[in-house]
Amino acid sequence: MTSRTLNRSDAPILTWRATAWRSRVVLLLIWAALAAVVVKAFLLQHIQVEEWQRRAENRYERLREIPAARGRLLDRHGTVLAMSIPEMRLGVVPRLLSADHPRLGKLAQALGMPESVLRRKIRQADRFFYLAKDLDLTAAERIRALRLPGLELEQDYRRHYPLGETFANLLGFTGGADQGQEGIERAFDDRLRGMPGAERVLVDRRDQAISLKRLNEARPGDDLRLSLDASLQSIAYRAVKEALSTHRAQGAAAAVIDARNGEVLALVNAPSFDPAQRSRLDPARIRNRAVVDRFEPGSTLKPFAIATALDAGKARLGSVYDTSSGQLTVSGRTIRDSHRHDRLTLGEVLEKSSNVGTAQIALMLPAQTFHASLRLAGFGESVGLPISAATAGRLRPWQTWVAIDQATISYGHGIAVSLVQLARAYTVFAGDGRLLPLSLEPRSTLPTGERVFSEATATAIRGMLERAAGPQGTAPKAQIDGFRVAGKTGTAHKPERGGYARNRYISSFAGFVPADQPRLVIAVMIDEPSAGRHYGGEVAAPVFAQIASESLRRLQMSPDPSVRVLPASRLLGEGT
Amino acid sequence: MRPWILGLLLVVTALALVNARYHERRLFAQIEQSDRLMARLTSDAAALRVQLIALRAPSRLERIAREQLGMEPIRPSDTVSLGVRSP
Repeated sequence: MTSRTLNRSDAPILTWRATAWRSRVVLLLIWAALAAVVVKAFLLQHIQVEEWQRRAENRYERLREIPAARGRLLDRHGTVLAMSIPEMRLGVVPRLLSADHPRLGKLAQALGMPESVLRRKIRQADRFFYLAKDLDLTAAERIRALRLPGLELEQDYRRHYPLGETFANLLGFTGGADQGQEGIERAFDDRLRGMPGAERVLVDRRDQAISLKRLNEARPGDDLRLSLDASLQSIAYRAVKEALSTHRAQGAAAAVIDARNGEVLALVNAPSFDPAQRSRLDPARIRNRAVVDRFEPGSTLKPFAIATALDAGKARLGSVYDTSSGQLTVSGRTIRDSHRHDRLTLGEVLEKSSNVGTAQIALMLPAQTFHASLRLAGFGESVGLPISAATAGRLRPWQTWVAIDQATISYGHGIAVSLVQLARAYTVFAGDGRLLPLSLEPRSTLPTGERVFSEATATAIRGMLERAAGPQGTAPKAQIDGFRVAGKTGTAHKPERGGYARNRYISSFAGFVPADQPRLVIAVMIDEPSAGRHYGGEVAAPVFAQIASESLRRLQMSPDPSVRVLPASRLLGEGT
Repeated sequence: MRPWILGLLLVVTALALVNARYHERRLFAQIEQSDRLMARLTSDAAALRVQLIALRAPSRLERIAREQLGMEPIRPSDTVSLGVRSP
């Protein structure tokens, strides 16, 4: 083995000058790189911090809306009439969820649909679609636990109406975005609707939320307490529903108003609809006939003509009218009574519902006076309830009246009213001659009302109405045991192409109970009864009696045992 | 202070930070879960309340009272007024 001693000065690294220079350059580059990192880090963390934070958040942040619950609808005693319950909607992004995914079977099971249908739906879809709505949160949680890609669960609210068709026409319903579309839901939409909130959610790479920041709290809508009484509404609904069936009518409606303060206690319609089954709605069933429909009130208007004459001094309680001919010709047209009477006192004209007698009285009045009186009683103007499409009825200007118009309007033809308008007008006689404004919300103070007739006149008419609903009047079937009743029947031919239909009627009754201390004003309307009877006294008065009797019992008013239903002397058909 | 102690402290605080972040996320997930449970229970309670109101609807009770229990509304003729004698 040979050994070789190296001279230190022979090592190239020690002699190659370029090596030292190169290593310095490398070192410098490393320092420069480090400095660049430090500078960049400084810039990121101190100078451009907001820009980079925004970029990072955009990648991992979701802005989420927090839906707000719609306020509840309550009756006057706090019974819930409508409330919103959170439910979920399940959406699918077909691009992210394969129709062959092995866990789709479990999803189909959770949704209660056949697996083949589910797979077909996903396969056929080319864009986002909602697979299910109205999912309860428990079902939604089960679906979430499947951790399927491409599924999106969105919270929503569904409106529930626990008392169903009893209140359906009045409360209406909500549509998309929980917006009121009909009835009270629409009328009070601003108060009932909540204000959605918003939150910013940070998610990880698996789209799981890791933190959130509330931007705005969701503000639920206000609850709305209505003046309605669920018990009375139920009583009234049952009565009109039975009447609809018994008389094979096109429709029926009833309004119950507190005679003391004008609060609406019940407003019912038949036929109605089930608000839970809104997909198959018949528009004719949605209509709130009591507020939207107008009809000729017939003889229920007679008390207003007679009261106007009393107040104007054109008639006195002792005045007598000769109606023995049973007819009266005015402007070449003949007015007839359905039954012939002899000489009738003022009170008997109303009690027997004589068209001829009422027309005679009305023709003594200046047209302007009669018109002003009807207007003060609320006819021809909005009833003041915030329900859309509420009719103002029809009352032509007095300047366009001729004598026959004045005569026919006195017994309720040539004028159109809504049922709720008629009920409101009867608050004049139930009280001291003032018209009470109506309200759908409970009142804390008693309204004054606008005076229509003097107190003495209102008292006199009240007595006449009580006799009209007695055994000698046109509506003995309006009587109830234990309470005195006052009211007036109405029967009117339905208008048809410039004239009147021969065999199609609107039967009505408006009155109040107890007559001596009125608590409830009730108006009933039956549209086209076709089971053989059509007079208001036979068709509408019994409905009034049923509603009045059961409502007073429900209100726990003490009956007077001495007040008994008396048999009719003979059933009169009031003027048509 | 010796540099290795500073280094150790740095490592320990870094680990503590990671641990705290982990716990924060765990707690957040639990809160989310609890929120969902609360929403679910609230929703269930509301649905049950709706069912209860429907079950005790006056019209339903009236029908059951009439048809199943044979009850009838009280009429004024069914009532008797009793005079109250003062003691």
